[in-house]
Amino acid sequence: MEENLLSVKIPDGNDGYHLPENYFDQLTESLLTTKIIAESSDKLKTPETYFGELTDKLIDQMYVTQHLYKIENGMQIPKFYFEELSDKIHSQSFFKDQDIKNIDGFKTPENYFDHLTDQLLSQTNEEARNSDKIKIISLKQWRVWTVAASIVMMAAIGLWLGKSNNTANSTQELSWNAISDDALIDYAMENITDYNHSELEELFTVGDETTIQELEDLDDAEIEKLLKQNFN
Amino acid sequence: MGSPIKNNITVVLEDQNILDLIKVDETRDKGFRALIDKYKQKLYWQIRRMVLVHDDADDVLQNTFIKVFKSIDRFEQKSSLFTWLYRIATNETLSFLEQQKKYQYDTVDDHQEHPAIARLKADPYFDGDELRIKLEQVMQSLPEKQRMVFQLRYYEELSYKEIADILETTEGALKVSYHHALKKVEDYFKSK
Repeated sequence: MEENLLSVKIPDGNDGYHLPENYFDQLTESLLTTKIIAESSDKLKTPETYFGELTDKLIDQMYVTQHLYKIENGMQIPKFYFEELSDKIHSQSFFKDQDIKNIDGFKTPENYFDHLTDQLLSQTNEEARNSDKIKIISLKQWRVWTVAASIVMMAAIGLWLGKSNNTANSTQELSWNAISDDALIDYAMENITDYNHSELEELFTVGDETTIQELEDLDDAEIEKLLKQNFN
Repeated sequence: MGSPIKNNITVVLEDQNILDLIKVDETRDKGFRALIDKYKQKLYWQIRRMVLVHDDADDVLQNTFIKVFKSIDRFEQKSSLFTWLYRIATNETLSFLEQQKKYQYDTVDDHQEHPAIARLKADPYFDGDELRIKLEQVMQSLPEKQRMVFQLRYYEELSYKEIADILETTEGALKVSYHHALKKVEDYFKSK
């Protein structure tokens, strides 16, 4: 049995196995070249963040390829879509990049909002008290005041004219009684133009909500007209 | 219903609760306080971004709330309370700007710095950088309503529907206005 084992022959290359010609002659050199390549591959560099961006880049390329494929397959896109695409993307990224929402620069005084509620409440209460005072003035009373004001104004003008002309005539007196109320009102309406808008609003608010809404949009001439209508 | 302010924690009430409080004489002040607490900051910033200067914003805000309190009994709830308040604030702001333009800006020529920008720079409550000032410069070149649309859409992030309710205009007109404003802002920065 032992003799049989020893009699087994080690293949000498002629038992069906073949090698390239001069294989062993070139083997050392070939192995040395492989070693050099393996060592130098560690020194190869890629652009910074190359691998970080690679996935997105590949996905973008796939996206474009897919789109082009779709276009070639009868899909349509808006005219100049690709020409305008970069602008569109740029425009979106402009607002994203600029982040102008967060560059306010606006500040408020310290604790401004903490005291604001009390401050506003006290002011609105005061305003409410003032407007209550105004509301008790009826249109009729206001008319009387207007007439009184015009009388004073006319008297003042009359006196000034009399003084400046130096033509004092004791026999010539202005007879106020001869001027009717309507004439005085007409005079006041024609000559008094500096109406206080908010006072007028208040006057017309009393029992007349529609008028106040309309007043918002009226100019002075229209308000005068409205006043005239109310007086007549 | 408890006080909206309890142990320094502000409880934000629903609009309907606020209106209910205001309707009753005994709780009217409480309702007003809740209303102010809920909306003061939102309205302040909406106004401030339009008028730029803190003192002006403060004035316009006060006028806004005075208007609100005077007319809240006539508020018919056809729109939301929020929309109604924004509308009043918007109208107050626009009329303030109109008045300012009338009395202050008559003598401005093209080469001068816009008075609003000059005032902004002088405002002690502004510390924006050059970029912010540039942004305001381009904003000043927009018509006021367009600027208002930009503010409400870009900063407040309101929907076109909400803005349309506030400004009482159509959504289509707003979209055009907003994109006009965006384009102008973008063009301005690109050219610099």
